[in-house]
Amino acid sequence: MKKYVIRRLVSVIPVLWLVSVLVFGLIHLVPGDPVLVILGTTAEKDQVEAMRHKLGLDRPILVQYGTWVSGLLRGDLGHSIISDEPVMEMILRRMPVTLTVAAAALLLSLSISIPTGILSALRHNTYTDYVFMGLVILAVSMPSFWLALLFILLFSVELKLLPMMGYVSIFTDFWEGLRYLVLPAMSLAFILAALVARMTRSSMLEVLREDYIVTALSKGTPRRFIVFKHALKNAFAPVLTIIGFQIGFLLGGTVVIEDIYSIPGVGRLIFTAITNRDYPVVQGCILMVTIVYVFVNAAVDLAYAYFDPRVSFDKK
Amino acid sequence: MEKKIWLGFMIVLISAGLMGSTVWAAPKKGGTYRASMATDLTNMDLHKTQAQIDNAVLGMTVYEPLFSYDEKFNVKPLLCESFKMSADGLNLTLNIKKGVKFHNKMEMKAEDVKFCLDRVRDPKFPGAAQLNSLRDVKEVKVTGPYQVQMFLSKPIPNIFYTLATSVGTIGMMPKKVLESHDNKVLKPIGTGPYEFVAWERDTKVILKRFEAYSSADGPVDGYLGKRNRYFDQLIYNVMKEPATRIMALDRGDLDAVPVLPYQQIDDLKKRKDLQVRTGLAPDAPWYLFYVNFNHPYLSQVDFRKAMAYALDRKEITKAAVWGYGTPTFSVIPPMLPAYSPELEKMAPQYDPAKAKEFLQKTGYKGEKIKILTSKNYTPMYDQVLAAQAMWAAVGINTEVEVVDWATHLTRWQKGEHEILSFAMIGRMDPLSQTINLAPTNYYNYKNQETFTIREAMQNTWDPQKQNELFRKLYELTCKEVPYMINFYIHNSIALKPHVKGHENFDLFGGRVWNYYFEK
Repeated sequence: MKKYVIRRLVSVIPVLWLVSVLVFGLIHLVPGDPVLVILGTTAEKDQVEAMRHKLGLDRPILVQYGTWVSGLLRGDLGHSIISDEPVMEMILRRMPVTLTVAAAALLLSLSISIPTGILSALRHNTYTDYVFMGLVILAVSMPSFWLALLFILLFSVELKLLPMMGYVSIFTDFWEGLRYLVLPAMSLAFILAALVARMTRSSMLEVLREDYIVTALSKGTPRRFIVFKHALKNAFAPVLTIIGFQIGFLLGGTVVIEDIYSIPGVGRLIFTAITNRDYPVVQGCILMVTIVYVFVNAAVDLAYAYFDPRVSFDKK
Repeated sequence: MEKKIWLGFMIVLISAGLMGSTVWAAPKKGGTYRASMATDLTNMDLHKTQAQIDNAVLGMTVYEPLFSYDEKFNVKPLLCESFKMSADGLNLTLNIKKGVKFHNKMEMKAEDVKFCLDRVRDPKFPGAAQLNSLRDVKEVKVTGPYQVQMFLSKPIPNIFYTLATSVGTIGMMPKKVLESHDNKVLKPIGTGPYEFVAWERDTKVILKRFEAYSSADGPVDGYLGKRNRYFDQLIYNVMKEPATRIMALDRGDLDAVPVLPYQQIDDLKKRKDLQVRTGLAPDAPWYLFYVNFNHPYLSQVDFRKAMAYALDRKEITKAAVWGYGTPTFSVIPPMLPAYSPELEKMAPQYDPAKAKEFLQKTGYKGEKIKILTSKNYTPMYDQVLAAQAMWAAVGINTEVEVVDWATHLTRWQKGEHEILSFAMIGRMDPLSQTINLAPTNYYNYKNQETFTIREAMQNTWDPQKQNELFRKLYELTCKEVPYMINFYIHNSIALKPHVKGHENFDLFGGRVWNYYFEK
C-alpha cells in the first residue's frame, strides 16, 4: 500500500506539469486580451500597448511560461491581471467555500441515493422500484438552475425558512452556516443522487444474483446481514467511481449554483477569470483544482481495496 | 375680541399641525440600505479602473472628484473651492476646499491633489485611467497648502469633464497612505459621505456613514450641495442572476435593485409594492453597428446607406431592450444641450425602398457579410437578430458570428470584423463622445473633413461653438454613415416603497446619501 501511495504521489508531478502546459497554452491561444477588458471600450492603441508591456504580455509566450513556472516552483501563482491580488490568496479564500458546499451536497446526495438504490434493487420490479426510478429520471431531467430557483421561491420567498443568497462559514457559526448551505446543497444533490441511485441499483441487482448471495440466503443468513455486509460492500466499487467523478465535478465549482445563491466559490472565480482572460487566475485555479482532483482520485483508488479485497496495490 | 381669540387659536392649531406634519415627514437617520450589484467590483482603485460597477459604487460613495455635475449636467466644483483658467488656456489654478477630511481623519491638502492628478496620467502606472485625456498636462505644481496649478502644453477644452468624469473617476486619495503601501489601494480611503468597511469578494461590499464628512454643503443641486448621509450603513450584494435579485426584493432582503431585466420592467411597473423608475441618463451607453472600411462593400457609402435605410430603429429598440431605450441615429446623446429633436430629420429613416435603391448602385450580388457579436451584453446580440432580418428584407445577406466578450473586444481593436455589433459608454463632452471619429479609430474610417472638425473641437473653449461643431460632426455621420447607431439604453431601478428621496436625476447615478427610509 505504501509503495502504491508513493507511486501515485510521484505520478502527480508529470500530470501537473502537463496540466500547466495545457492550461497555459490553451488560455493564451484563445483570442482575447485582458488589457482591453481592463481598459474597456474607451481604450486607445498606445494606452493598450503600454499596459501590455507593463504586464509583460508582449513578451514571447515561452518567456511568459518560464516566468510563471519559476514563480510556481517558489509557491507563487502570480497576481491577478484585473485586481492585482495574489492568486494564491484568491484561491485559498474560495476553496474552503467550494469544499464545504461540495461536501454538503455530496453528503445529502449519498444519504438519498444509497438507500434509494438499495431499496429499488431489493424491491426490483415492484411499485417501490418504479416510483423511485421515476423520481430518479425526474431528478436527472431537471436542470439544477431551475430547481435552485424553485427552491428559493418556496423555501425563501414563500415560507421564509431559509436565506436565499450569500454564504456563512459553518466554522464561524455552525447553525447559521448550515442554513445557508441547505438550498445550494439540495439544488446540487438531487441530480447527483439520481446518478448514484441508478448505479447503486444496477450494481446491487448484479451482486444480489451472484452465487455466494444465494448460498448465504440458503444457509439462512439474515437478509439484512447479507444486504449490508456482503452485497452492498461488493456492489459499492462502481458506485465509488461515480462518486469520485462527482467530487471532481463539485470541486471544479458549479458556476450556475454559485451565481444563483451568490456563493463566493472557485467556480465563479474561474468563470470570471476566463471571461476576463485573467491568465494567472485561470492557470492557478485549474492547477489547484487538478491537484485536489488527483488526490481525490487516489483516495478513491485506495478505497477500492477496502470494498474489494481482490484489489491489492502491493501485488506485482 | 372673541373672533380674534378664535382666529389666534386657529392659527396656532394650523401652525402646530403644519409643524407636526413637517416633523413627521422629515427624513430620519438610520437603517441599512441594501442594494444589488449585477457584477462584483473589479478594483478598489478608481484611478485605474474604467469598470462601470467600480465607479458606480465606490465613485458615488467613498471617493469624490474635484468637480461634479449640477442638476442640469453642468460641471461645477465639488472638492474645489474655486478655479481659474488663464486666458491662453494653458494654466489652471485649483483652490481646494479647506477642512475636507479623508476617512483616516487626515485633512486633504494640495499635495494629495497633485499626487492624484499625477497618478491618473502616469504612463508607468498600469491602467492609469486618464493617461490619454490628460496627456497634454505638462506638470502639476503645489503652489500653496490648498492650491495646485496644472500647466498644459496645449489647451484641453474638456478638462473639466475629465476632472468630473465617472469613467475612471479622479477621486481624491491620501498621498501618504498610498505611498506607504507601494502605491496600492489596500483599503479605499476617500473624502466621500460613506467610508469603506469591507469587500467580501463575490459576495458584498459594506460601507458605513462617514461621521466627519464635511466636503459638500448648501442646497442640493445634482451631485452638488448637502450630502445628508441618512443611512448608517450601505450594503451592496453581488447578485448575478436577475431572477434572484427580484426575488430578494420580494423577500425583503434588498431595498433596491438597479439594472432591471428589460423583459420584466413592464410587469414590475404594474406592482404597487414597488417604485420602478426608468429613464435616459446623459451618459447612457449607446448601441451601434460598426462597419469595416477595408471591406469591398462596406467601404462604399451607398452600401452603408442601404444598410442604414433598412434599419427600423424603433423595432430594434423593442427587440433588444423591450423598448427601454431611445431610438436615434444621433451621436449627440439626447440629454445633452447640443441635441435637438430636429437633428433626427437629417438621419437615414427607415425606408426599405430607398435602401434597395442604394444597394443597386453598389454591384452587390448577395455575398454573405458577417456580423460579429457577443452575448455578454444581451442587447448587443438581440439588436443583431432584429437587424439581420431587416437587412435580409432589402437583400443584404448576413450571417452572425458569436464570440465571447474578450474576443469581441480584441477583434474590435484589431479591426478583424466585417459588421460589428457594439456598445459605447456615453460621455458628457463632445470630444470624448466622438472618440470613434478620431484618426485613431479601429474600423479604418478615414475622412479628413471629420478629422478637421474634431480637431477644431479640440481647440475650442466656447461651449456654444463646441456644440455647433458637434452638430456638424453629427451631420457628417448622417451623410457618410461611418456607423449606425440604434439606440441609447435607459437606466432602471426598482425600490421598495419605504425608500424615499430617489428622484429622476438619480437614474444618472444614485445619490444614495440623500435617500432615507420612511418609518
